[in-house]
Amino acid sequence: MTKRRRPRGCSEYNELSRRQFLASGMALAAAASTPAWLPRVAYAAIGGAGRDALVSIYLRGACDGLSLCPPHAEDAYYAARDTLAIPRPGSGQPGAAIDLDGFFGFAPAMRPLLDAYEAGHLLVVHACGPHDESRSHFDAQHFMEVGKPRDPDLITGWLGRHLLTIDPLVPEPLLRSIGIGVGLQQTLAGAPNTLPIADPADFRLLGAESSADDRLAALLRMYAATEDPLRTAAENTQKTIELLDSLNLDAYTPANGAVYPESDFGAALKSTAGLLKAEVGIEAIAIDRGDWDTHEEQGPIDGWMADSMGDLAGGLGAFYADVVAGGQHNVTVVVMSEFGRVVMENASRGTDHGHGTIMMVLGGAIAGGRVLADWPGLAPEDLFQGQDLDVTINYRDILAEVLRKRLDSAALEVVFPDYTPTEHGVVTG
Amino acid sequence: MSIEAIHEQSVRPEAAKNEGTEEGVSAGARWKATTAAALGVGAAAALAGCPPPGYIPGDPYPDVTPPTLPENLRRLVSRTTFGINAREAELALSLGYDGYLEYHLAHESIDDTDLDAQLAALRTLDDSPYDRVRAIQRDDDTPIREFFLATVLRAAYTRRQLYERMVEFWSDHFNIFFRSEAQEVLKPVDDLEVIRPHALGQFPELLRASAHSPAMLLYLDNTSNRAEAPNQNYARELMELHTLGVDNYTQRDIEEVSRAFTGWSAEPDRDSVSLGRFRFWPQLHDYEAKHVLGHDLLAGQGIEDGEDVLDLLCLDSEIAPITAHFLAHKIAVRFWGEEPPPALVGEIADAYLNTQGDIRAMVRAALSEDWLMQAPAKIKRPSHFTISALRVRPSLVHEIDTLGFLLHQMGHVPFHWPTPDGYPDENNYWGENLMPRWTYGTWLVAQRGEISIDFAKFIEAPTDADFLDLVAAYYFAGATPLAHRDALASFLAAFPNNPQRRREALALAIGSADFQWF
Repeated sequence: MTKRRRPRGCSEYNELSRRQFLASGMALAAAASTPAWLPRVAYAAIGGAGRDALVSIYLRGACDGLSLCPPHAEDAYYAARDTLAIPRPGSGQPGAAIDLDGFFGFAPAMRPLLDAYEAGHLLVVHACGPHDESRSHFDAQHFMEVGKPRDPDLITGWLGRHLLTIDPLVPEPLLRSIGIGVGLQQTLAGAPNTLPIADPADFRLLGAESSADDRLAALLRMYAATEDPLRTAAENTQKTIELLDSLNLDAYTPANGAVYPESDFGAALKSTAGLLKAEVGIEAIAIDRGDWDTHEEQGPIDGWMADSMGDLAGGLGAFYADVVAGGQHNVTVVVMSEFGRVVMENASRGTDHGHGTIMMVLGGAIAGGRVLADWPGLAPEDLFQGQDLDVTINYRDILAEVLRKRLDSAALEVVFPDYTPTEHGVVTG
Repeated sequence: MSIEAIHEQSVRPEAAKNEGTEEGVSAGARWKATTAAALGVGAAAALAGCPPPGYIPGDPYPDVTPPTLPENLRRLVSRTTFGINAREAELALSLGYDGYLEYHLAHESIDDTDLDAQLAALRTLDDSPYDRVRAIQRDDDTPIREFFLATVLRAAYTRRQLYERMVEFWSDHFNIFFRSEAQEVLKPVDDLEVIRPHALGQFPELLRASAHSPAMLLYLDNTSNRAEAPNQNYARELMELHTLGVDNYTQRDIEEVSRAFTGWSAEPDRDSVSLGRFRFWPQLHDYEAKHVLGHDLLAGQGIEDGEDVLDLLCLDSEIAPITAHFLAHKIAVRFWGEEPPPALVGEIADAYLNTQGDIRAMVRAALSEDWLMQAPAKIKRPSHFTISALRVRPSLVHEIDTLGFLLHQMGHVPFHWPTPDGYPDENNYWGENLMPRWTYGTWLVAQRGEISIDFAKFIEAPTDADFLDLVAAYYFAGATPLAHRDALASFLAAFPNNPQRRREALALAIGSADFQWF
C-alpha cells in the first residue's frame, strides 16, 4: 500500500513522528532461565487450556471513530462534517457507508472487515475510550497503556501486569510476549519473558549474512565465560534467534487464501499469525498502527485516512480469515486508540483532538456482528466539552472482560488498579 | 524505519570484503563534509585530511595506544568516566589515584574548549522557554534535536567526565519525563539551569533550584497546587524521591508540605518573555500555619513556607541526616555498585553532613580507593555503553537520530523514563535485552555517516595478532579475557588479514561481554 504523504499534523504529533525514537522508550524484563528448551514448530491449536492469546493493536495518533464507523442515522453528524462525512448508505453518493445496523456503518475502506462482522466475530464498540480528559497524545497513550489515568507512579502496562499475574501458557516458555516495534510498548512493560522485536521474521544479527553465524558463535563464546545476568541473557537471545529462525516466518503461508497488505502493519499481523500458530508459548503480541493524526486533509473516503483504514481493515480481515475464521485457534484481537477527534471538521478538511472514539474486538468467542454503544448523541448539547463525542464506555471495561473471560485473568484489580470494570457482553456466553 | 531499511543502510555487502582505501576515502570525504556542518568552517579546516592523523576530532589528543593501568586506576577511571581512553589512562598514570580523582572533582579548572567548540555549532542550547515556544509554533524541531545531540556530545567528549557522570546522576534523581510539548520547552531549561550548575556543587542549592524549576513543578503537578485544592504530588516526591526516601515522613507531612508549596508555579502567558519562568502566585497560596516534620511554619508566610521546607529537608540537624543517608546510598550504588556496604554509605553520608551537602565531598568518599577495590562489577547502562564505544577511538557524532533510534531499541533514550524515580541503576534490569547491544557495533563499523569513527589503525595493523593487541589495549584496558581473545582470534582466522573481517571483529569487541561491564 502506498503511503500518502501526510499533511502537517499538530506540532506535537509531528514531533512524535519525526522523532519516533522519543516515543516513550521502555526497557524490559526478559527470560530468567530456560533449561531444556525445545521449539515446537508444529502448527497446532493455540492455548490448549482454552485460554486465548491476545493481540493488542494500538492506533497511535487518535483515530477518528466517526469516519471509521460513522453514525449515518445522525443528522448532526452530517451537519458537523460538510466535506468529511461518510455519505449515507444507499444515498448513491460515491463513498457511501456500508450499513451495519441501520444506525452505524463502516466507511467503504473498512469493507475487508465485513466478513468478520457478518460472521458475528467482530464487535465494534463506539463512544469508547479512557475517561481521562487529556488531549495530549503522549499523556493519553501513556495513561491508557499503564491502565490507570493520572497515576505518575504506575510504570508497568496493563498487559504486562496481566502476564505477571498468570501462569505461562506452556511450561518454561522462552517468550511470553512480543512487542512488534523498535522499543517495547508501554502496554507490555513489566511483562515477564518479553522482548521488543521490530520484525519477528528477521530477528538476527545486523550485518553481512555470510558472516552472521560466525559472529554469533564468537559472541556466544565470549558470553559463555561471563557472569549473570549477561550469560543467561546471551543464551536466551540465541534461543530466540533459533526459535524465530526455525519458524521461518518469511515462508509462512496464511490459511484460507488470506492475503495480508504489503505494509508494515500487514507484515506484523502475518508474523503474529505465524508466531501464534506455532504454539511456542507466546500469549500476547502488541502491534502499533500509527498515522491517524488527521488535522488536515483527512480524506476518509479516498484520501489519507481511507488508505489508513484500508490497511487496518485489510490486515485485520486477512488475520480473521487466516487465524480466527476456522475456529481452531484461540485468539482475541483488541484494537484501540488514545482518543477520537472533534465532531466538527476544521477549516483544513481535517479534525482536531477530540475525546470518544471506537474500539474493536475480534475473535471466535466474541459477541460480535453488532456495534456496542451507549450512544450519547452528536447534537451540540450532547457533546463532551461542547465539541466531542463523549466517552460512555470505558476502554478498560472491554479489556477487562476479554481478560477475565478469554485469558483467565483472576487479577483484574492488579491489571486495572482502583477500577471496577462493568461488563458489556463482549464475550459470548 | 523498517528493519529492511536498517539492513540496507547498515550492511556492507559482500563486495566490502575487498574494500581497501577507496572505502576509507569516501568515508573521509563524508566525514569532512559533515564536519563542516557540525563544527563550523574553522574547525572543519583543522580537520583537513581524513581523519586528521593523530588527533581525536571530538577530543583532540595524540593518538597513542592507551597504556595498561594497574587495577586500582582501571577501576577508578572506568567509574569516573563514560569510558576509558588514552587521555584518561595517561592522566591517571601521571596523577595517581587521589590526584586523578581530585583533578576530576575540580571540574571547573579542566579545560573543555574542544567540547565548547563542538557545542558552539548548536545555536539553540541557551534558548529561553519563550524562544522554544516560538520554535514549536514555527514547526521547527532544531531546539529539541540540538538538546539531545548536546547531551550525547557532552557525555562523549567532555574532559569533565566525572561532572558529566553527575549530570546524568541528577538527571535520573530529579527525573522529568520528556513527554509533552510543555517539557520540550521546559526540560532543556531545567537541564541548563538546575542540573548543570549544581551537579558537583552543594545539594541544598541543587534542591532549591529544582524546586523552582517550572519543568519539575509542571511534571509533578505543583502548577495546579493551590490553597483551596492542594495537589500533593510534588510534596510527596520531594520527600520520597528527592530527599528523605520512602517511610521517613507521614501522610500528614505530605499534606502540610503540599500546602507549603501552594502557588509555586510558572508564568503561563505565551506573549510574555517570562513565559515558562518560575512564578509564585500569592493569591493561590495557603497562608494558614503549617506543621511539617515536627516544625511549625508560622501563619502569614508566603513563598517562605516552601523555602523553609527545603531548608528543613537538607539542613536541619535532625532531618538532614535522613536526606544525607538516602542520597549516600544512591551515590554508592551509582559509583560503587549494588548493595553497598553500610559503612561506605555511612562515610558518604558523613561527608554530606560535615559539609552541609557538598556533592564533591560525597563523590570523593564514594570513590575512595579502599572501597572501590572491593566493588562488584556493574553493567553499563545503554547510554553509558553507547558513549563508551564512541570514546575508544577518535569519533564524531554528526546527528542524533541514529543514536536516538539505537537508544530507543535499548530502552534508554535520555529523559524518557516515565515516572519520577528515574531510570533504574540495576544490573538485572539492564542485563537482558542483548540484541541491540550486539548490533550496535555493526552500526558503528558500517560508517554510514551519522557517526564517524577512525578505525584505520585497526584495519591497517600488520597482522591479526597485532590487531588483537590493539583491541586489547583500546577495548579491554590492556587485558582481553582469554575467552574473548580466543573467540576473536578464531573469528579472524577464517579470513586472515581481511579488512571486512576486522571491522566485524571490532563490532564483536563492542558487543562483547567484557565491554558491557565496567
